[in-house]
Amino acid sequence: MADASPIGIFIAGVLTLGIFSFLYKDNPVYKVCEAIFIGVSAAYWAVEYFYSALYKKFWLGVIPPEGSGADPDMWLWGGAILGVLMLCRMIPKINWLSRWPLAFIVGATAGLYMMTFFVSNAMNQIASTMQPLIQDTFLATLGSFTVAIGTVTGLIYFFFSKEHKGIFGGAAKVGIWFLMVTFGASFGYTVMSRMSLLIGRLDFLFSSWATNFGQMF
Amino acid sequence: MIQALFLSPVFSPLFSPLFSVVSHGLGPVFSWIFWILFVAGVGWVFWRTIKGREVERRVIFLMMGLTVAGAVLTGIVLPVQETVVVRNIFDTIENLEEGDKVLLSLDYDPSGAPELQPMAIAVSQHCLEKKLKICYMTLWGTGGAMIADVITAIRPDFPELVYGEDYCNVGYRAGNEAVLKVIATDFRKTFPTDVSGIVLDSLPMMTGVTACPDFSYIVAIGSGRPGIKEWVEYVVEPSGALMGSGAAAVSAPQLYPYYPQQMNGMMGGSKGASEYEKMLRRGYPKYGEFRAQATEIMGPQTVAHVFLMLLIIFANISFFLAKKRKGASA
Amino acid sequence: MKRTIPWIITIVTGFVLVIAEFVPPWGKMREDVLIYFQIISVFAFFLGGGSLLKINLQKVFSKRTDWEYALVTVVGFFVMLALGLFKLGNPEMATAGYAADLNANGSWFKNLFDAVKAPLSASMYSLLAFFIASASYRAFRAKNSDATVLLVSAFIILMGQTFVGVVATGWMPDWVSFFKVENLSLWLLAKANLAGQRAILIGIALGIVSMSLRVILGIERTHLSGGDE
Repeated sequence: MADASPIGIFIAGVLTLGIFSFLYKDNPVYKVCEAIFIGVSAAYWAVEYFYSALYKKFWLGVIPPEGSGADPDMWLWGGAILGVLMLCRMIPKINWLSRWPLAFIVGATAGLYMMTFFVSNAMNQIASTMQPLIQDTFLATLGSFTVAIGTVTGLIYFFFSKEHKGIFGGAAKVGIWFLMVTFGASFGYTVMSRMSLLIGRLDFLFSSWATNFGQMF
Repeated sequence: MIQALFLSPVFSPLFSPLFSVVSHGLGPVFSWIFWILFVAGVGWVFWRTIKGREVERRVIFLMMGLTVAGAVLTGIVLPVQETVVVRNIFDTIENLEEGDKVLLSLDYDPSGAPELQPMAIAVSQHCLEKKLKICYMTLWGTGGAMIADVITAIRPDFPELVYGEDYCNVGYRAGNEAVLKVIATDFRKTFPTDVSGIVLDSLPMMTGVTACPDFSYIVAIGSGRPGIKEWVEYVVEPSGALMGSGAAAVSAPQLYPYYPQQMNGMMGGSKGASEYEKMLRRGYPKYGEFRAQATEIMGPQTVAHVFLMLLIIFANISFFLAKKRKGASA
Repeated sequence: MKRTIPWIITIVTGFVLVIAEFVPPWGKMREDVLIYFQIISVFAFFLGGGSLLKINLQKVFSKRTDWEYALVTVVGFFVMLALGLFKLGNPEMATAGYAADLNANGSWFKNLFDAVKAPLSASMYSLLAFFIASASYRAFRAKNSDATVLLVSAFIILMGQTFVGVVATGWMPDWVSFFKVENLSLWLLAKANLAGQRAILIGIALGIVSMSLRVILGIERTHLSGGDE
């Protein structure tokens, strides 16, 4: 909201109150705000996508600006052609062509995810867990045991190929407790996040908007 | 008299922080009215809940709104406890050499701004105080506007800054993790130009930057996907770049598995941002005169947390009383 | 042909990206594939945007229930689109032309973002603060051991992340400082929460690896189904 104009601040405040009106009940003012939000957001992203990828990446790539010293990158046409094929989905007779770019996206995502997740989220996390359990201080040792037991029992809980009974079931139960601690922490932080947003909005209403309102009327 | 009682040696440790802060905002009279209404409202909810009567959804909404609004207007500012997780980022930037390059990625939208914009501003101010060179980028379409706001906020304090020499903005590219995977090894392949179409090679500060590891430090500030997690997976892991992060509180707990091996520090939500602001103010006293946005949030945040916890406690007392009554009648 | 070619495209693309991890000279090819990915994802968004526009325009022209709101959506869409595509009022247009920064201060696109999109987006999400409060009051009960652990963990975090924790346990002597709420909450985050998150992370990673393998080996073909044969 840097350097926002008085009219802009006024509109922002009115729209904020319009959204808050939903707390009383669903009403036309809220619905109008919601409709504006959908339309403006979709257009915002469309424009950002158009300029960032199509204009700056593709267009300036195949026709580099004078003086840039770059060679035209004709390979980029391949991406553009696949992209246009994606739009064939809207034409019933040739909508099967849209499977080609879709197949490309799915294949690329699978290739990208497979190695990345395997290395950073599986192997490295396992390596980080396999640390010496006995540390210099009691608290550090307690921490190491907690991490090791929590990770292993949590994984046991996610292992459904064996029935959760006996020792295995007990370990799974401990795993659930660790997961509950995790969810509790997530809940606490979610509250914190949403409260920050609310405080941000109210701060805007009481400072920028109220001051601006006073100056305008 | 009541104040004297609370400030007595017995109660002082508990209540003195509250009395030392209620004189901000709209003044002590408003503060007292607010606290009295707060206690009365909470008492009413307690009484109703214990009696087993429902408190209507909209009444809870109203009370929550009034609590936060009152706390904002009161202007409560509470002390912030520093943590090593945040300090690591501050120390890393503090120990960089003049002229080192920092990549600052702002991957969020206006809904994350109250928590994350203060982080971006504080880190930018710190870097510029240290005469480091900042390259801004974003993985979110809405991030471009956030970068513009951060630059507008810090620019007046550093009038001598020259675009392209001291800082630059390469803006946004669509593609999420595909963007990261490419810039990890070839920055110009995805960002041949800056946000205004200026070829990157013509910006003096970008000389010698070919990939992410060429930046001395990366600070990714984000509130979702693509964000910090993706930075770790697609940039830090394959390239070994040094990274710190600033996360919206909602995603902060999920990022602990990456600390400290894959990222050396993390600011979590407004709390993390307020810690950074505190460190910055201590290291650079001139910032004491500026508005510490995140620190200002922490006061109302505390009051909101207290209110929410009281609601949960009341509801659970009522639950156990009802269970007991049911057990006695059975 | 309608399914075989895309099936081959999936396999080849997947293999290129996996092999590129082990064969450095293939790195350039991987980057090209990922640039294609970036360009195609834009068209995918256009498809979604077009669909949104189509549905809303149909609603307006057929005067279905709530067509007025659909009209507001369409008008909002076109106003924002026009301001952005033509970069109206953008102070950088004179020097940078259409490569100008979309969010340059003073551009009408940025002004509309600040006045409309930013407050609407922030307010929408801030509504959740109210719903969290109401839902916690109604449903957050220590009904069994699992729920109790969750409740205690949430309380420690809620207290520890604010000054409440310091006030509540500030009286504790130093030798039990571990039990001060602010320290306990940090420990909970960095150890117990870490363990749970790590288990989830490893579980998800293994799931994604196996699913990706199925896709790359051509076993998983659900993305090729549906529509015209």
